[in-house]
Amino acid sequence: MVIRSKKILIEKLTGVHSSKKSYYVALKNKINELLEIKRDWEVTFSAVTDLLVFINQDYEIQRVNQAATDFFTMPEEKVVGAKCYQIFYGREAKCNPCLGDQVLQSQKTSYQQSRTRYNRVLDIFAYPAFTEQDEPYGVTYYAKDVTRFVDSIKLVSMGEMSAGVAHELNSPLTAIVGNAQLLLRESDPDNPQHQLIKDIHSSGIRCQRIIKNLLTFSRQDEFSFEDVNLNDVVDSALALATYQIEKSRIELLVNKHPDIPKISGSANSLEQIIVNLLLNARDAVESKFQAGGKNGTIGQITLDTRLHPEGELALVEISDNGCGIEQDDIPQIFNPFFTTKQSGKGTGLGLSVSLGIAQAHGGFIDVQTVIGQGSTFSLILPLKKADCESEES
Amino acid sequence: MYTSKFVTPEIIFGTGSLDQIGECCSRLGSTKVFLVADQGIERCGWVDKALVFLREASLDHFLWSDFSANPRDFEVEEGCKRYLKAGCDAVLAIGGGSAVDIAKAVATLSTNPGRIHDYEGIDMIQEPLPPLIVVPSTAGSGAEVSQFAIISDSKRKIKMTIISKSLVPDIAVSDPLILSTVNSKLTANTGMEALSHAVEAYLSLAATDMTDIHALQAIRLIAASLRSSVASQVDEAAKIAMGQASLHAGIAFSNAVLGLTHAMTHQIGGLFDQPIGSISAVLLPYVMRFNMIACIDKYAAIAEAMGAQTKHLTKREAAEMAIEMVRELARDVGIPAGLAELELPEEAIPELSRNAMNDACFITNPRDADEDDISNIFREVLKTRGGEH
Repeated sequence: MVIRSKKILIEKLTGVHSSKKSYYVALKNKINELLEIKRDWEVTFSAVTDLLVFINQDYEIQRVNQAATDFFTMPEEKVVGAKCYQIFYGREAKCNPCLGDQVLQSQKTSYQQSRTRYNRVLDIFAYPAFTEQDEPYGVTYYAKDVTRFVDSIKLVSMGEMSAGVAHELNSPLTAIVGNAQLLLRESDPDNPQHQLIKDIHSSGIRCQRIIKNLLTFSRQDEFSFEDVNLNDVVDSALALATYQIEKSRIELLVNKHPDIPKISGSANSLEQIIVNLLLNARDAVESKFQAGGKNGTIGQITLDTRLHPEGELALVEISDNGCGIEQDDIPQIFNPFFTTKQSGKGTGLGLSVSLGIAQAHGGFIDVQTVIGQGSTFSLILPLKKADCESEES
Repeated sequence: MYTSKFVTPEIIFGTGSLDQIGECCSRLGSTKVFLVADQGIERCGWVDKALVFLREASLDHFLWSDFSANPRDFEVEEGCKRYLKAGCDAVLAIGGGSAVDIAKAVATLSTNPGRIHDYEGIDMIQEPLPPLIVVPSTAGSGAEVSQFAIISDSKRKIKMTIISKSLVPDIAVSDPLILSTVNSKLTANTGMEALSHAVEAYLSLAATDMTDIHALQAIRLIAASLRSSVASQVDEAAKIAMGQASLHAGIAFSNAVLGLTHAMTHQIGGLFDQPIGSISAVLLPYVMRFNMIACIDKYAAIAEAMGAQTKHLTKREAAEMAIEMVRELARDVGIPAGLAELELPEEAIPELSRNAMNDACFITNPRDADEDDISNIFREVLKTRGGEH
C-alpha cells in the first residue's frame, strides 16, 4: 500500500501523466469557440430584417446579412468585396459627400436618408468600428428600407394636390377640347391649320386622360362594387384598345375561358387595368421592334382569361413578345412616377394605379419577364364567395 | 521500477551563442519580445548585446528588470501587466535563477487566469505558455532546462514551488562567455548548487538511466572544474565545463527531482527575504551522511565521478569518501560548514521539519525520514559555525 502510493506520488512528480500544454489544443479550442461565436452572430444578423453592411476603409463591403443580400437581389459572394457605392447606388465612384468618410473622420455615429438603387429609400445609420488601439478601421451600416413610408407621404400629398389641380384644370381643358372639336368639324382637312387644330384636340384629350388617372389615383377607394363578368370587362377593354394595337401591326390573340364565375368589382376600373396592361404590352412590343429586334418574327400580344387551378381566383393574363423588363427595374415598376418610356409617353402612373385598383379588389398583379423576349402581366382577382359560405358562418 | 519520463528543451550551447537569441525568438513566432534581465546582467552590458541580436532579427522588445533576487508574487503580477500592455508574444530571460523563475511565472500568468498562487504544486497550469527562451548567467540553478519555478509568497512568507511540464523552456541558450562575468562568490554558490542538484537527482527514487548519465557527468565536470572556475573569471575552459555541468545537472534534477537537501533548503530560504548564499551546498554533506545507507553503491559511484581511486576500497569506504570529497570541494570554494550564523532558535526546528516533510522534494528522497530525523539534521547544521570545517 505504502509502495503503491509512493509510486503514484513519484509518477505524478516526474510528470508521467502530464505534458507541456500544447498550443495546438488551445488553438483548436479557441477556433471552436470562435466558430460558435461566429455562428451565433450570423444567426443574429440574419434574423435582423433590416440591412447590415460592414465596410473597410477602402469602401469595400466585408460582411452583409441576409436582409442586405435580399435587398440587393445579389448573392453574398457578389456583394462582399464590392465597393459600397456600387452596391448601394450603382455608382462607379465614391459618393460626394461620403457617409463613411464622415463617420471615420468624426469617429461618431451618423445618419442619412438617401434614395438608392431600385429607387428605394433607405434610412442609413453609420457606426465607426475601432481596433483595440482605438483606431477606426471600418464602418457598420444599419439601413432600414423606408420607401413605402416616404412614398406614401409623397402619395398622400400628391393625391391631395392632384385632386385640386385636376379640378382646376378640368374646366379649361373642357373648353380647349370642346372648342378644338368645333373648329375641327368646321375646318377643311386640306387646310394646313387643320393638323394644328387636330394636335390641340388630341393633346387636350391626353391631358384629360392624365387628369382622370390622377383623380383615380387620389380616390382609389371610391369604387362602386357590383357583380361583374370578367369576360365582359375584357371585351369592353378590347373595344378600346384593339384599334391601337392593330394600328401598330401587332397581332392580338384572345382566348377567353368560357365559364368564369362573376366577381365583385368595379367594371370601369378593371377595364382601365386591362387597357393599361394591353397598351403597356403594345409599347413593349413597339420598343423592341423599333430597336431592330425583328428577326423575322412579328409583334404579338396574347390575352387569356383563366381560372386558377387551385384557388378561387380568376386570371387575366396579357403576354407580349416585346422588350421585357430589366431585372433592376422590376422592383420599382409599380412605384408611382416610375417609367421607362420616353418622356411624354408615360406618366409613371399606369401600373401604380392598376395595382392600387387590383389590391382594392383583393387581388394583385403578377409579372414574369425575360429581357428581350417579352413579359406576362397577370391580373389576379378573387372570385365572388359563394353565398352559402357566408351564410354558414 | 517506476514508469518514467524524460523531458528537455532545445539546448543551444557554445561560446558566443548569445547571438542565436534573435533567430530563436522569431523562429518561435515572436514579433515583440518581453526581455527579463536581472540588474546585475544589465550592468555587465549583456542586455545591450542581446538587444543588438534582437534588432538584427527585426524584433521589437520590452525590457523588464524590476524584480528582486527572491522573486515575489506581486512582482510576477506587475511583470505580467507589463507583458500584456506592451503586447509582447514571447518571453526571453537572461540572468540567474531568479530572472528565469520570474520569467516563467510571468509567462504562466500571461495566458492563465488568476494569481500565481493558483499554480503552486504539480501540474496546475492548464493553458499553454508563450514561447520561453532562457539564457542562464550562472552555472547552477538549472532553471534553463527545468520544469520548476520558485516564487516567494509575500503574505505566507514561504517559497511556492510550481511544477509543470509547461515551465520547461522552449529553448535554452547557454553561453559560457556570460558565466565569466559572475564574481567568484556567486560562481562558488551556484556551482555548489549545481552539485547538490546533480547528487540529489542521482540519489533520487525517480532517477533513471537517462537522468543518471546527466547527473554523474555533472558531478564529474563540477569536481574537475569548479575550483578553477571560482579561482579565475577568465578561465574559459572552466566556464565551458561549468556551463555544461549546469545543463547536465538541470536536466537530471528536472526529470529525477531532488531529495531531502532541497526539501530542507526551501524551508530555511523561505524565512529570509534575501538569498543567503548556498544553503543547499551547506546542507548537502549532512543529508548525504543521513541518506548513505539507502544507496551505498551510488555513493561509491559519486566518489569515482569526483575522481577518487576506489579500486582498493570497500563500497562503504568509497561512499564515505564521496561525502568527504563533497565537504572538501565546498571548503575549497568557500562554502560555510554550517549555518549557526543564521541564529535560528531551537523552537523553530520542529515546524521547519514538518514543512520539509510536506515539500515535494521529500517524496523522492532515497531514505525514509520522520520529523525527528529531519530535526536532528537541522540541529546539527544549525549548531555548526561557518568556519568549522
